[in-house]
Amino acid sequence: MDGLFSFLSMGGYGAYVWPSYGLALLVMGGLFLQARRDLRHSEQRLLDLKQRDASQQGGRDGKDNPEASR
Amino acid sequence: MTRATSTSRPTASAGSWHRFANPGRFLRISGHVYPWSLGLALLCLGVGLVWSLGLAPADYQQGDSVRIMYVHVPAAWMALFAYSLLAAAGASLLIWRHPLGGVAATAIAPVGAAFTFLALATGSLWGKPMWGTWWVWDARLTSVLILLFLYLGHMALTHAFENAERGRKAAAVLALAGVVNLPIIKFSVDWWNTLHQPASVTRIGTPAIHEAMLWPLLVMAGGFMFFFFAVVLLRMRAALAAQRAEALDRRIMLGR
Repeated sequence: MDGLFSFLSMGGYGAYVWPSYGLALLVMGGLFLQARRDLRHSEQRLLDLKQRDASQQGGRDGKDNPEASR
Repeated sequence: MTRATSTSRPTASAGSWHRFANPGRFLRISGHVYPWSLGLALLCLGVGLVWSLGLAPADYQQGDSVRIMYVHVPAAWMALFAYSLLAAAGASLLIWRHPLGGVAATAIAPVGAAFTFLALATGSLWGKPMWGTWWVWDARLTSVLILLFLYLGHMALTHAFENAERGRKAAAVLALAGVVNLPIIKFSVDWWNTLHQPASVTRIGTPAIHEAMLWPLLVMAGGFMFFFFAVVLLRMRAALAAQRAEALDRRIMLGR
């Protein structure tokens, strides 16, 4: 237990060391999660639009549609 | 030279360069690179955390506060590195009209800003116990603050125009003009008297930092670097998907 306390106190500098690492975790975690959410969001939107486009094209009898076939 | 002649008769090097302009090729390559950069980032950051918080020794003068260095220095290195890439992406957009240049720059800027903020904030947290102050208006700190404003300005300019292409180009001009700040940051600790310590890793000869601290620092820096690439690749892929969705949406609207 003493070992844990001395680790957390960081030789008296715990109030400066831990916020530094916490901030890094917060900033980098936020960057990563936001980027992944954006990617999922825009890929889903693209997929939805492709399906809508394909159903529209189907109604117009086999018109050439390179975007839907990708 | 007009645009038509330059595209119809590309030189060998321009031809090979423009192959990467193809988003399809970029998506394929980034699909392979992304899992590796994310995996290596997690590995380096995991090892680096244990090493820097536990195994690395306390400094004989700074005590355990020196552990802030393992976050502060990699963040500051990445802030500078990301800005060089931002300027290179801007140059490729302005000079070669490289379509991925604008996408890359838009993806890089907020990540670079985040690392710059992190460098400033952790520097402040280190400065308080070591210098007795959170902030001084000296050359190093001020030039890094300007770097943060350059990133923020880039982000604001990118979205300031109705025409997205114009916004990207205006931001690219700002990024290139701001390159002058990079050597100022690098050499500020040598040119001016400052509280900030001079470079101890990237100097000629042997580093002025003990190996027991240098290795965990380099592992953390590697983790930051791989993490940066993983996030930028994600952001670029998201932007490309959004662009294609936008184009498809317009076409569907017109088709009705």
